[in-house]
Amino acid sequence: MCSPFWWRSSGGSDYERYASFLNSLCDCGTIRSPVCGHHPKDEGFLFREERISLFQTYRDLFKLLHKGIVYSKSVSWLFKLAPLASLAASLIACAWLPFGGMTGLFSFTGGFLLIAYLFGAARFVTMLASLDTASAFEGMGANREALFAVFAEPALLLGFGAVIVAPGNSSLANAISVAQNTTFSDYGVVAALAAVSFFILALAENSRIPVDDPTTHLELTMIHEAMILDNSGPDLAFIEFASSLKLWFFYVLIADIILPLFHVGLVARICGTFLIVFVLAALTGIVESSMARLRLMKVPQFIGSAAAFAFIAILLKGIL
Amino acid sequence: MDTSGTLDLLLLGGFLAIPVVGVLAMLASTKPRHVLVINFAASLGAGILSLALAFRLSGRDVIRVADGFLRADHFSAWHLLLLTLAVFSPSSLFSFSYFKNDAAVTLGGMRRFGMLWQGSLASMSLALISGNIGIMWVAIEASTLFTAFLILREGNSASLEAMWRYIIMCSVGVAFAFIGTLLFAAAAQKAGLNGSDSLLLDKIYSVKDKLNPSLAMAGFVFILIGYGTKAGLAPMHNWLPDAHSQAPGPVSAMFSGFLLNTALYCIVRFMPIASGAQAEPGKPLKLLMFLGILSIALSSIFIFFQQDAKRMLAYCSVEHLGIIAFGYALGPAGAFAALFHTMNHSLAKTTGFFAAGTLGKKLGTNDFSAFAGAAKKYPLWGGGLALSLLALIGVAPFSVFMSEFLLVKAGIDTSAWLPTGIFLAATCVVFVRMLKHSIDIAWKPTALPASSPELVGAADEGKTRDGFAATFIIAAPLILLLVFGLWMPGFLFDFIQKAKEALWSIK
Amino acid sequence: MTILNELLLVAILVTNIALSGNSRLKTCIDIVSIQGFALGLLPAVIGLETGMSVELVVIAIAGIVLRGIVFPHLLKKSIQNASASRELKPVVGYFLSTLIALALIAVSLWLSRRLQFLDPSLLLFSTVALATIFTGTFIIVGRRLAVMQIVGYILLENGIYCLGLAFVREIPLIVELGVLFDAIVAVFVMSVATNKIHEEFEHFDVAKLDSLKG
Repeated sequence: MCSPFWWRSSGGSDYERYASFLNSLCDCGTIRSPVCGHHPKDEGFLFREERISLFQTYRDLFKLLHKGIVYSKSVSWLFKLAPLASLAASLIACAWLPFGGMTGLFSFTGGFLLIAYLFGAARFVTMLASLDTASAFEGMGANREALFAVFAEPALLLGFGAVIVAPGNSSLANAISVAQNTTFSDYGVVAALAAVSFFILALAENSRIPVDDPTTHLELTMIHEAMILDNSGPDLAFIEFASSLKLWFFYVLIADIILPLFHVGLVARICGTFLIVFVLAALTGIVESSMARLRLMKVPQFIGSAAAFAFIAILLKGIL
Repeated sequence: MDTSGTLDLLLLGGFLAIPVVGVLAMLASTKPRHVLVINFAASLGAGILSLALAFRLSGRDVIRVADGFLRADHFSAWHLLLLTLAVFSPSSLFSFSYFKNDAAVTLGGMRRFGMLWQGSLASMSLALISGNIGIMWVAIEASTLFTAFLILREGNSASLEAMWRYIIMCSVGVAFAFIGTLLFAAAAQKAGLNGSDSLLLDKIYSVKDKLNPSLAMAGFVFILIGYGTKAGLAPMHNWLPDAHSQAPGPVSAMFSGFLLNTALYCIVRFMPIASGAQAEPGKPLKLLMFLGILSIALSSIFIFFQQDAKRMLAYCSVEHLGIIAFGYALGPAGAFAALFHTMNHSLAKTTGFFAAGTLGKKLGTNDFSAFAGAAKKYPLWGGGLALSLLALIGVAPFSVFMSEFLLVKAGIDTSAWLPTGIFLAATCVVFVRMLKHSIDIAWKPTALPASSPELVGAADEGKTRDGFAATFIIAAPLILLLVFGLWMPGFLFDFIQKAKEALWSIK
Repeated sequence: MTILNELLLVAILVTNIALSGNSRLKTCIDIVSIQGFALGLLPAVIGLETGMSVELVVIAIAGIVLRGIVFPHLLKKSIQNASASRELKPVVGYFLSTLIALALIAVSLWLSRRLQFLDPSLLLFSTVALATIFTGTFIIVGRRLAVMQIVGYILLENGIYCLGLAFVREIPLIVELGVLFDAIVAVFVMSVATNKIHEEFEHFDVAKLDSLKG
């Protein structure tokens, strides 16, 4: 009751809140390693001939943090601010993320809207910064990013709608505690559809194959990477860390959707969350190594399919 | 009882057995002409069978075999008689003269024609004698599939286009009719019938008061739209003029003469059930009336501007189907006129298509301007077309006049003023227009200079050898129309009366 | 309603949307095949729920074989020697088609909710059935290639079959098989007609068949 978070609307001890947030900070890097490496043609930890460490991302970040920053003469303060701002936005968004049945750091009604806007804000500052460099490639990247965002954001909101909006419950944590009282036949299909929708979104929002190829060398085919061509050193580390957090956010969210159906205790739920996150990371790895990037015109359709799944999930919630 | 039951089974089963035997015989035959002979024999055999059925029904209300899956009452027997004797037999006889000297006639081609023809005969008969609304649907869909390839003439791209339009529109339409069938079955199950009974026409009728009104109404709407597409009721008639005008002569005659009526038969069978379920029984009838009047009005406009003889006859079918639907929609009062009109339309329209089809083939075009004065060059076909047009528009001594007169009377009796008014106005438009065509065909000087040698040859051939069969199929229906217009035999009157009763109380 | 049942129905919904947004004919036919399998399995799953009978087994097997294997096979044959492998200019564009397909699902849900006679546990069933019927009709209207119109017709048939399972559980076997047989013959006749259109006109584009008017 002496919690500083007086605006909270759901239960959970303060310890749980801090734990779930810290988890995000500490673990997000580990899932990036299985998914991707930083070498071209590198298919991550699962499919490499020579194994890489689970903590490779942290090593890379550490390395980057110790490097100097090079700024172009033409950039303004905006370019310097953007990496920090996008990291801050992603960090704050993770504060709402419930973890394995533990409530997030913050939790209040309508919080999911704030999450969507925080991700939007992170994207916005990155795009501004890339335009600030006045490089032709970065402008093109920002253009594409904006186009895909148009499709991804409705899908994200619809997905949140599918798992959250139900009578008397409109925060993420609440949705999950309500889902704990449900069974497979009530909620299973909705959860599965929402999970598929979020998985597609995770690929799209984090610029993975088949939407974008993060390891490509050809600037013409880049999307997200094109926007950060001019960033270096700690700035690049911030951006990489922010994008790790975002991926982590989506994976944990999927785990949060699926796990309550199994009705298990706290420890099992936490282990389960890690397991699901790892499986999802492996799945992403499989997708990346087995699929090619989609043609640019097809991408809206791919992201649109996430919206379609979420839409069906919402409708089904009305039926079941 | 047992022998009588066996006889009933043989009688109704015969309608399916005869076409099968016919097809087998066709496969065994070796000459194209033989195939046509077998085709005619099988059609005539079905005709004799339906006569036997009509006699068997004297003194009985209904024949029911195979647990009610097959049933025949006077209403279906009346349609069967028209199907076999007024349409299929003459049309298969007409195919002799139509396919004569046709380069496309090969053994394979004629076999295909004969088998599809028998298939259509079997499926349409099955639709008429099925007591199970699911089987009825299966039969109607089967008749669409059998008749589709009859439209096709080898190497003619327009007929291919017509066929595609026909398959897609009718298959989709009839699929909607199946939704209606399912809704009726669902309503019947809610009213307490078990699974297999819920599709039987008489069983559903027996619980008609207990059916959920909105469910029955929704079912009837789907039935109306679905089978209405096949019956060529406006506004779902788009396929009809194409298919009728592109098909070979005998096939157009069969389409117009009875394919449409079979679908209308199915709609009408649901009518007493649907209106029995409503608190206000006239509601389903009003829908049928609306489509009927719309068909009459819309087709009259198209007829007015139509220059192609076969297309005009096709729109004329839309009009007459509308008239028949209008008659049924007036309730029991109009049913007699509607049933009588069904016969008149079938007789007159098949004759019209025989004549128009032959003239079109001889002159190489279906345009009315080329038909001018055709009666002088080809007395039989030109004269037959002129006379059948007169019969179709209801010139006085022909029986179409009588049935339309009865219809107007029923309309006034039931004080359906507006529909009757529209009906009269539209038929007047059609009357004026088609009378002009008829006069042109009979008396106008020939438009085409008979310069091209093949046309001259065709003209000579047309003058000299029409043959007895050709004369018969043109003259006999016209004489019948004339006779029934002047005097209706007692047995015919009784039969139609009984058919009307069988329609409104399904036993 | 078991989870299996729901999964199959949702799979049918998803195939509807995938079909309306896809331009490659081969992919569309594969999607039809998936839908056919899902639909064919439905009676068997219902049988697991309510007690298996010989009729259900026969219907399930016939459904899987015809809808999952024979229909797609016929369609594949009819596009074998086709010049076009995808439909480039549909009447309604693909993105809009997907949106319409989604809207049609919402409409079917609304309609099913209004059907008062319907058992609430069958709400999903009838929503899926109606959505499939609507999507099928929409594809017939919204596509110009003859093959895609056949696909639309198959969807329509599938939807009606599903509706039959929802509304009328006990249809006599002979009627059920008759309906199935008609569907297969219809698809066969249509694919033969498609071949003829291709031979005659060197294209599949039904919108270009417009010589008959008036």
